Amino acid sequence: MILVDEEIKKALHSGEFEISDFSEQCLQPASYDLRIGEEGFTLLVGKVIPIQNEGALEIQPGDFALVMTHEKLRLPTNMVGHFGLRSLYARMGLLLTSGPQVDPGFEGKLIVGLVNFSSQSAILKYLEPFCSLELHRLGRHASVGYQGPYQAQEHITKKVIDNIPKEQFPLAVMLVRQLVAASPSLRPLGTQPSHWVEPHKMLSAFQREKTAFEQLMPQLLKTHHGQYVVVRGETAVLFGMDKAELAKEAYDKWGYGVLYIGLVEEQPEVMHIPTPKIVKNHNDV
Amino acid sequence: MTYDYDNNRYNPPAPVLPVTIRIPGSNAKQVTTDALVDTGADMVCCPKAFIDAVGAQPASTRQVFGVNHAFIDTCYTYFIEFEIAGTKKLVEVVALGQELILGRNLMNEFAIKLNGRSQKLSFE
Repeated sequence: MILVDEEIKKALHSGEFEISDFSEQCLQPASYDLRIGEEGFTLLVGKVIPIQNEGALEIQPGDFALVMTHEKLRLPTNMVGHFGLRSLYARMGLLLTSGPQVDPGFEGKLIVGLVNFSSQSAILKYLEPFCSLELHRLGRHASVGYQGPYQAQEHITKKVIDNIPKEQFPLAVMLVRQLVAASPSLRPLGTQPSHWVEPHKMLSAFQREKTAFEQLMPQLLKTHHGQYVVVRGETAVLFGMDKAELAKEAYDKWGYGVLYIGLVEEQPEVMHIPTPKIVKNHNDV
Repeated sequence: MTYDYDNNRYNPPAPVLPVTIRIPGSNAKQVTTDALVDTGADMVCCPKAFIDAVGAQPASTRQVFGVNHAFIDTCYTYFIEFEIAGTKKLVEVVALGQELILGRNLMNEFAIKLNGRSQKLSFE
C-alpha cells in the first residue's frame, strides 16, 4: 500500500520511520521529494564536490555523477521505498541509474547515479527537490532488514567512488558524446540555417575551457608569458612554444576531445587572410 | 610530385593541391578535396561544412583580419590532420569561407615550386 500525504506525516510523527529535515513543501500527494544533498561527484571532475559550499553541481554532457540526498532516511522492516527522478530532470536529459528500491530496514542517505544524456550541462542546485520517494507499507515485517554496504552511509566515500568503472565514460555515454559532436553533419542537407546554431550548444564545454583560460590569464602572465597553454578540465595542463606540437601532445595524451589552447599574451592572437574570398560569416565566436 | 593549376574554378588559373583532412587519430570521417594554395594567408581557412563533416572540435580562437587589415571576426580554430601526397601534418585551421585555402602555417612545412608559365605546382 502506497502511503498518501497524511499517512506519511502520521507515520513520521509516530516515529514509525524517519525523514531528516522533513519539509512540508516536499510532500506530494503520494510521495516525498528528496533534495540535492551536501556532496556530489562527477567522473569529469574526478573528486567529491561539496555542493553545499559551491551551491550547485554541474553535470556536463555525457558525464556520470553521484548525488547524495539531503535527507537521511530510516525505514522500518515493514516499509519499502521506491524512488525515481522528478520529471523536470528527466526532461533535461538526465537518467537515473540507481534504485529504484530502498530496502526495508535501510538507514542513511541515498546516493544516486545520474548520467547527462543531453548536449548541455545540467545544473543541480543544493536543496533542490530532484528525486521522488514513494513509501509502501508491507503486509508484514521482513524477516531481516537491509544489512548491505550502504547502510548508515552519509558521505560519498572513496569506496563508493572506487566502485565506479575505471573507464572515463560508459560505452553508451561515449556514443552519446560522439553523436553530439557529429550532430551538425547529421543534419539533413539543405536545411537552413545550416551549421551555426546547434554548435553554440555543443560548444558549451569548449566555452568553459576558454573562460577558464581567461580567468587563469593573470596568473599565467606571471609564470608562462609568451607560451601556449592547454586548458583541460578548466585547469592549465600543458605548456609549450609551438601550438600545433602542443595540440598533438594533448590529443596523444587524452584523445581527441574538448580543450582550449591559448597564447599567454596581453593581446589576442591574430591572423591575416588578405583575400576577398574571405568575408564575415556565421562561424565567429 | 607535380600538379596542374586549376583552370576550371579559377581565372586566371591557380595552384591547387589535393588534400585529405580528418581529425587526429581517426580516419572514420574524412574529406578529400582540391585546396587553393594561397601564400598570402597566414593560416589555413576551412569551410565549416568540412569541419563538421570530419567531426572536429574547436581548440582555440583568433582574431581574423582581411583585405586592408580590416577586422573580420574573432573565429574558432580547429586542429585538423592534413594529408598531402602521403605526408600528414596536424594544422590549426580557421573556420572561414566557402573553399579550402592552404595558408602559410601549412605551406611552410613543404618545399613547393610554382611554375605559372606551365601552370604546374611541384611538391616535395
